[in-house]
Amino acid sequence: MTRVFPFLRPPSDVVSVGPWSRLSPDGTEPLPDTLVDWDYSTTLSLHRPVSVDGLRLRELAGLTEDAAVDLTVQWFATNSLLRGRAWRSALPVENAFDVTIECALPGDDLGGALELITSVTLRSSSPGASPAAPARPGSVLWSDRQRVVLEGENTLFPIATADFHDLPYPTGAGWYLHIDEDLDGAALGSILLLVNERHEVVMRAVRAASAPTEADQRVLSTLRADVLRVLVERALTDEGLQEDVDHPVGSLGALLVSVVRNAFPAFSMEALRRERQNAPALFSSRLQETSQLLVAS
Amino acid sequence: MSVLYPRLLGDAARELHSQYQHAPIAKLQEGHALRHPSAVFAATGGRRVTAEELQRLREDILTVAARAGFPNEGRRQDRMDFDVEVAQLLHRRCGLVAAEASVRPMWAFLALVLLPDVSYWRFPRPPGDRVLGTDITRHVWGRLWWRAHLLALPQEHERYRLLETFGEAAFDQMYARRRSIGGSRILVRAVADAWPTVDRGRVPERTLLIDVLKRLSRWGAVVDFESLDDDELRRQVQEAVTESAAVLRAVYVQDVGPRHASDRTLG
Repeated sequence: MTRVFPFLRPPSDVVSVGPWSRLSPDGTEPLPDTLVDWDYSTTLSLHRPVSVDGLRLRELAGLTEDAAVDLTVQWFATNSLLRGRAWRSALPVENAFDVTIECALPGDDLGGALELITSVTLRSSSPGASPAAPARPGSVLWSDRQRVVLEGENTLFPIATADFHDLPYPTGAGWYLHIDEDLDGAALGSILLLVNERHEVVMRAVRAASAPTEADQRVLSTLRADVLRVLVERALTDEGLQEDVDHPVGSLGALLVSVVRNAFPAFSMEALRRERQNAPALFSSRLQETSQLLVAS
Repeated sequence: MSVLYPRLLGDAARELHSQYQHAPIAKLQEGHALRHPSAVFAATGGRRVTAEELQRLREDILTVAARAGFPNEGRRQDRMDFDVEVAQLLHRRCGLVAAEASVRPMWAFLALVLLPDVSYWRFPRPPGDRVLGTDITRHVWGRLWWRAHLLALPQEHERYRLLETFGEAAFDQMYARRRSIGGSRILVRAVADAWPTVDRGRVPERTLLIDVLKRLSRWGAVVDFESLDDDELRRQVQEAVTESAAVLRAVYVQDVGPRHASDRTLG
């Protein structure tokens, strides 16, 4: 949905942004889509080059040269829904003004996916501005958003280890994917991958997930494929789950619909339900293919 | 490093709730435990809470509860005071990070395994969401941790002074709008700071707060509140409060009747 702003905004080319980079012990690297090695104790050191036409953006937003304008970075964590300011700097009245955003984000309030929202905002207007110009401090003149998934694919699911002897699951099983009933409940907290502490092979692979041996990789591939299978089956066997019904953002229903869409972009859920019912072996092979079961990496 | 708490998953939690919801407090006291065979820990992200820490947490909460009349029913105000005190205690002591505190089954463990007696005393015969891990906004313990987390002032001596500003019903209004404004701690704190000075006349507190929050949400669609200095943020919150109060006072001057009486105070 396009947002309608009740004031003049400059064209997007008044700001040029470079890529976000992350400072790590090994040096600087481009910020990937997923941070495999992130956990709550990690402080993310990020930077990004930006060039702003400070004069042109004021003119084209109907502001005078005396207007105070900031470049701001806001963070937003998708699991806690918390947000905060990561960085801010005043933008001078000059074109091609180069600045490097540098910020450090402690892990305490983060989790799930992290959104970094870079904005140009009005700090204060001044007399002589156009009646159509933004007037309220904080008005967003330009913005850009980047999302990075924290916790890599090995820990994207909440994982717990437990002795299956104490749980109502088969004692010899390797894992169990717990999924709650409420489709509108938050996905986080609705899903938990339980790994059986009694199963040495699986436990070894899960522990070695950041540096797996070839044997571990095969186990992890099987585990991932099975998790995908259980999620897809859960989605397809729930008649209450329809792809054209909007489930709340971040809900279990929204997650399941998106899992099925990503796994089978060419099929409707109805078509998948039919195939699962009428040709289960074919459907099973299709799941193997989409989950890249035991495919050499 | 975050402390990890055991998570009590849906089926086990529902089973305990069905056993406990009509049980007397004395029986629930006997039923409390520091572990449960079906409770599991997350594999990564912190260290596991120890049995001693859980025991101490239980004892401290029992002490606060006793001051509020536990195990007897006690006065409503005592329970409000209990909430404020326990919110601070949980926030200060649990060692939780926000991501872990968003995990609902850990709150089910606290309610149904560690503190079943106090949970069912605080909300007698509760609907499931007070004790199960279904809705943190309504959860007997989870809502208190989040209230403290959003309202705490990390740099100040009286870190939790804003906790008493809002009752539960009012805070729910903000927490329910987490995605739009409730996730912004500076904004929540600015509203809490401005609130005691509001001249709301005969306008019920809850009605006024909902109107203020709607106003801020509308502005928030085109304004980045996080970019503002504290003074400017306070000024804008004050503007929203003043506008809402003026509009609603005019309505309530003409339209005050018994049907509004029950809405005048917040729980």
